[in-house]
Amino acid sequence: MNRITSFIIIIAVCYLNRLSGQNPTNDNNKDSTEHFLLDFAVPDLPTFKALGTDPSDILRPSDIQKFAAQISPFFSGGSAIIPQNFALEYAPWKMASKKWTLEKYNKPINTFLYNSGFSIGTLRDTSTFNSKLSLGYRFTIVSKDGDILKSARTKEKIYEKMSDYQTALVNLKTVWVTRIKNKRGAEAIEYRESHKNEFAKFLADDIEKESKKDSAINVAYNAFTALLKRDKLKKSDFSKDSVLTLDSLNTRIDNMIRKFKAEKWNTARTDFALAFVGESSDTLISNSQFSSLNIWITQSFAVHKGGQLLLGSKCKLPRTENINDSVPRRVDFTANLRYFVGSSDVRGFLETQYKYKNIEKLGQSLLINIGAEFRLGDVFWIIASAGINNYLGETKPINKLVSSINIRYAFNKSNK
Amino acid sequence: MKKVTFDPAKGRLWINIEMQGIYFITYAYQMWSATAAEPPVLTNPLRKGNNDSPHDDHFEVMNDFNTTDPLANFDKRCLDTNFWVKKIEANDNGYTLKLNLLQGNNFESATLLDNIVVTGTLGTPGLKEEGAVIQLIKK
Repeated sequence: MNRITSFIIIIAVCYLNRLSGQNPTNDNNKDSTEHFLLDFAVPDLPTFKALGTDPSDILRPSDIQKFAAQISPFFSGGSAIIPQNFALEYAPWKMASKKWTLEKYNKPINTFLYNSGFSIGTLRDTSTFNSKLSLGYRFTIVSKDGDILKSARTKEKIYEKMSDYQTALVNLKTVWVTRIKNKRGAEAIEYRESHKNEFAKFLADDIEKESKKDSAINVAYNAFTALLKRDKLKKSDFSKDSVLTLDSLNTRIDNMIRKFKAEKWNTARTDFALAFVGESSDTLISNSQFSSLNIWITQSFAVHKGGQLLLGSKCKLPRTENINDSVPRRVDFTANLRYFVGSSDVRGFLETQYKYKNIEKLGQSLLINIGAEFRLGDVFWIIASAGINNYLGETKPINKLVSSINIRYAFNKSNK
Repeated sequence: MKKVTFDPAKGRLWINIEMQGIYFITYAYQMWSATAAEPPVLTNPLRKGNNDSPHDDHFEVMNDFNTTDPLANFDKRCLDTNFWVKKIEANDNGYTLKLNLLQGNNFESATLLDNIVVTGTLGTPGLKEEGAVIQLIKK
């Protein structure tokens, strides 16, 4: 029953998101850029990782979102639960980039800042200190191959396509307003701007006829049709119901971005994160105390087309009471190896994790985990995993089943 | 359309195009004539560029059909810049486009006369046209 409830919650949230994303006046929303984001995955928020809601400690390499949220878990330890934990990530330098030129972005320090963000998360559990608050910071260093703004080949093709059509349409508007409408100078510009629909209608209905009578129109029209032929587009793609539209061209460029993303989702990158966790026996911050400091580093490699290997490590310094000669500082160390196979939208993974805790009786464990992550709708990601955690060091090792389902959402979609 | 006054005795006119924001941005610039005795557009070919390399986004304001055309003849001519802005990623944080008009014998030492600033975001579908027009007014 609980599983059914959990499933219904997920579907309902996704459905509501779809409704909120619909624009009844523009069916082209389905082709919007949001489908083709360069988000190789919604990021692991360090605050959440620090709160320990996931059996795996690996920090998944992914793009920093301007604003992202994580709610977890919907399903954990064999039963469905209502999520009480959430985390938010915020990237201030993405916001500041409004005033950046691409030249400024391409400076290493700014690329670094752009790909870094802060997060905050909370967790309530059944321990003595049952309220936990975590503050985190994370950065990603993306290889040149994985950054479309530094990938010369794709970037130049996009600029070329935009510039070619822009020039062709500017020339067509100029010959229309000067040769057909007989306008000059400021009057021509004002007429062009106030009669856009008239130009769209001219492009749809009259330009072929007029190009046969006027050499200037003919030259401009031939340049435009040569581009259409090159890119297998139609004149009607730019003029729909007497409105000049760039939607079809936009879709073509989005396809170029999507192709780039599909080819580069598994590109090499490095993720680093740290998180500070405080805890309290109630919800008062004044009663809080240090709980742990957590540091992660993960390096990913493309091992073949559609495959990615992650090498990850985490070091956790939990709160240690009464440190002395016989009680050392507590240290938890984790090493992960995860192999992904799939595409930019759906991928499965196989993972092994070794964890060492220096002062606990069951201080060593080996996790074998399988799972999948996939895009649901425009902005949701579902990450599910299940496995066996094998506690080592005993004459009779203890095996424990572990499982988790997370849902993630990126708030970057604009429905304007 | 913004009217900007210039002094024909104070040196050459320049435009400088600035593009801010993490987007693909391209532009096309042309100068329109003010009289029927001249070609309607005096820029041939159009000046084009993008925000990938900002160092070359400045041009002398000139009549390509008569390169010795004195500045006194530039009265009421229009500097027309068309921008295309394309979203790269979900982070539609906003862009700022500037068309600056400067005057001086060298671009590096030229003085800013005035400018037009266009700001915005894209939303859906992610490719948008913007424009900025300056009309020159002789002092």
